[in-house]
Amino acid sequence: MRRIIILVSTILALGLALLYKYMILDPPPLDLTLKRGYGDVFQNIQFNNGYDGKTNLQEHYSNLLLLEKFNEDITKDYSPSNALMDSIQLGRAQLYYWLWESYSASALLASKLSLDLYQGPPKSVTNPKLPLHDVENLTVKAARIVNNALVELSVHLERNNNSMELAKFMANQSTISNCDSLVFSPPQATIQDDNNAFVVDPYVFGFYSSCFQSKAILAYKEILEGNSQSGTEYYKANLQYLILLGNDLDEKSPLNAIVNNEFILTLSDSMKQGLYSNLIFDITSLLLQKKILNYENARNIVEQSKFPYAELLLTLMSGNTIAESDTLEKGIQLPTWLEIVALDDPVLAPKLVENIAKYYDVRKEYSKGSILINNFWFADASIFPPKVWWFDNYPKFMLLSYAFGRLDGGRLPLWVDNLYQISNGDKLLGELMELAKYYNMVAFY
Amino acid sequence: MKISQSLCGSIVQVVVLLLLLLLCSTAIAQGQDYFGMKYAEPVIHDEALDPIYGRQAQDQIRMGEFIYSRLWRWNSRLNLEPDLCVALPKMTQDGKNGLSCTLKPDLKWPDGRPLTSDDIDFTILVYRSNGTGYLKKVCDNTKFKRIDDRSFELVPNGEISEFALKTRLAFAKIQIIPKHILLEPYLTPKDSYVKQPQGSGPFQLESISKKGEKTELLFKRNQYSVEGSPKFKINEVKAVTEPSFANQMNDIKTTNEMSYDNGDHKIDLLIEEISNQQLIYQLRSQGHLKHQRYARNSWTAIALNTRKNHLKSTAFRIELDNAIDDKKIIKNLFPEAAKDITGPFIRDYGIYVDSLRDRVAPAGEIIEHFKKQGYILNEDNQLVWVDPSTGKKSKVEFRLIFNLDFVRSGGREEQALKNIIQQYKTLGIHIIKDGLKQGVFNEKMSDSTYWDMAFVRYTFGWDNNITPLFTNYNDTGYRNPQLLNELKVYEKSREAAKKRSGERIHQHCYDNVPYLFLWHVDPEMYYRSIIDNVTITPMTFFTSIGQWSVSPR
Repeated sequence: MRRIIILVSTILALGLALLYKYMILDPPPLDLTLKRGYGDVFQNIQFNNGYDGKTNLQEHYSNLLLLEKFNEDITKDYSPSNALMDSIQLGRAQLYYWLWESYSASALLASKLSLDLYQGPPKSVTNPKLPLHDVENLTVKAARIVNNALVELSVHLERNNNSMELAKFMANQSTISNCDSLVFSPPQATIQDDNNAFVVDPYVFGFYSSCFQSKAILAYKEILEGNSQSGTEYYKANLQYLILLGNDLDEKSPLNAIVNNEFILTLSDSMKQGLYSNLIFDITSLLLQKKILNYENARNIVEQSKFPYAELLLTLMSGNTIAESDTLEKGIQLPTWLEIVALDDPVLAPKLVENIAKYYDVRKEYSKGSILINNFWFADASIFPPKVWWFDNYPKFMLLSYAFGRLDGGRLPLWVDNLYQISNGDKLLGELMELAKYYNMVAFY
Repeated sequence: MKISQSLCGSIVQVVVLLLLLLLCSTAIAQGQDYFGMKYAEPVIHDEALDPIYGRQAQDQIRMGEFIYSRLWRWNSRLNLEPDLCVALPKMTQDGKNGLSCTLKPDLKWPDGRPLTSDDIDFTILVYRSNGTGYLKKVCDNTKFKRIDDRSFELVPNGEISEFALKTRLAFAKIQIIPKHILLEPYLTPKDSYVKQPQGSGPFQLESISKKGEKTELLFKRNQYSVEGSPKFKINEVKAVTEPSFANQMNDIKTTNEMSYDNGDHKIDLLIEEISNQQLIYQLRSQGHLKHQRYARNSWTAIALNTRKNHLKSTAFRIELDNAIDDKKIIKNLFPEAAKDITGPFIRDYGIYVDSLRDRVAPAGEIIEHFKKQGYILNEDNQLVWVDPSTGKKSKVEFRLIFNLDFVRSGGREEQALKNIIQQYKTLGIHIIKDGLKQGVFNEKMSDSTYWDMAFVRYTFGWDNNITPLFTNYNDTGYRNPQLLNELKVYEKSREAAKKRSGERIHQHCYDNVPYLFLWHVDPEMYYRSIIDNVTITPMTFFTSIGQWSVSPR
């Protein structure tokens, strides 16, 4: 009997020791979002669609804060594995990339709204309340925005309506230089908010976007330099790194050195497999614009996709800046509305719509672009937008759509609603929403 | 001979063929030109459909858009566009801030009489005599200057400041009235014109028929209307009331696409908000239907009768607010359809204090707060008020009224209300549920002695004019000099000053809780896929009907 008691006690003691070792001493990694149970950090960021799994809600800035908090927590208490740290680093670079895209789209939206309010909307808009007349008692800073900066912006947008280019232009004009201190302490975009006027500085969005571009380049450089790891996530990182570089530098771009034949072949292969088609369109059109690829080669890459308007999309993307719009044939054949709604690619269909809207914007056919965008988002909800868009550039697409679709005043409340849904926990997007609210109040009064 | 016979035969064949072709093309042409559509309204206030008295309810405004034209108007994109005028008005050359306008050529009323500058002058006089609000004010301040049958100027009668802007905005809403029918520029609610109006819009009212609770208004296309895109093939519109919600659902769900003239034709368009989640899923899965979200400036709340015991206390009202977890209700009952609100404005329309957070607290905490206010929970867990001067005890009990058209059986509102009542029960507050039919509800609502709480939805124009809530239509009886003063500032101010003033009103309402502000829902409309280019913008409603089209059934 005594032996049995000793045996049972020993087993219990061993059990307790094992329990202590594996459940208390070495706790599982923290749940990043505290709401969803993905084990992988990178997955968690990519697919965190906000509270209750609401579709299309990508809160990139909130996710960045969560990621840094997670990083702080795990490095404080124990030494995490290399794999986990790599995953965090990739996640961080990815978030920087998305924030660059989102804030550059915000810069375009903030510019368009501010220009409508203070300089006047396109002539096709006949709302007599726009632009605002006789805005008095502006602060010195607000007067500088309204009377000078917006005029410069208007001239720039006449030449180039690409949001990335706009962000770069804004960053060049900015007097702020220290990005590091701003990542977790965003700058103030609202210049004046009192009884006299409400003025937002659109340049702040462009500058902030450029900050994240620089941060993303550094982060990816660190990940990719001397790293021989393979895998789709590293391939994606490589694509994004090149897109960042291509948008950051001018003719002296080192892309030539990086983009070799082997790399070009991978673009075709990935496109064939339907892997990162969104990014491959971005990089291919970029390489075409920079004349690193000729049109024939670029077309061969995008035509590997099953998307029926691959060549058109490439043409639009590579020629969709005012500076290069001459390259677009005058008689370019755009798909009809019925053809657009028949598309079932949840990534490339919106990308095509965005680029057709940009094309109309270049040609000053603002109403056509606005109607297309609004129809796509709202006209027939049984087809578009798709119920679930599991693609990561939703905020960018939404913000650009708002910028081109804002001329349909009847849908403006719905746009503010969409903007509200992605602005949670993001100071700058919150300020952009205030501008959008103000715009509506003025237009509806 | 043979040759001539065969030639004759060929000629006959060709003639027959040509005749057949002609018949076919005529039939096709007739078919293309003759499509009607039918849509459902929950209620039609057909007692007044004119521009002066028929502007109270949304259904009346929609009917008005079939019947009337304006000089220029808001389109669904929220831009001004010419309607009866050739182009948008231009500033007069004399520098007096006036507007000049020329009517389109050969304008006619549905009876064939010409529509001229005299009708515009007459309309201004009617609005001056019988109009209300800012439309009357603008007409009072407008001097009509006739140039000829088609051309005229609108010039300031007194106040010059912002005359052009105010006149542009007001005349986008002023509907033109026929002088030859009214004769004198006066209109009373009893005049026959109020019920049998005539305008120069795309349709004219042909008949009103009633069968029990059901009303049907038949509109025929106005042959002289200048309205309509090349695709506009709608010759007839029937607006029907279908009090039975189940019938409305069956009508829209039926896949029958038979000729419009066929007796069993069903509803083509449903603009009313569907509140039953299951029905929404069902409608969305119907292949023959499309659906579209549209913007509406409205919110749902519980109006608190602040004249009544307990409810006159702000501290008590705050606890009632604390008891309702709006976000939880939204999550469970309105997934991705409703948004929480904390005041009398909707963010999407420009004014909203986003920093304010919805109040919510656990029942135990609320009860502790009640105790500090002099309430106790008795042995039956009922909340009891102990009068500090007499020691007399009285149970806390409220009559909560609601409109049965709004709170429908099986609808989300019914579930939400059940949830709210349950929350109050947990606090020991007894709620007497009192569902009332539309007419009775309005009557009881105006009797402030009858009710304590009302579960309601208010709808506003896009201009955020919430002032009537605290003045002319002050259901809650909440009066506060500071708020009334701020509302005056709000009404008079514009742009940034209006934004600031609106935010102060929002804050005041949040702090003082005259209403328990619950949520806002963007409704969806459902329509048959044979209809195209449908846009509804509640600021203009059916103004875009000239762009709609119906395919052959």
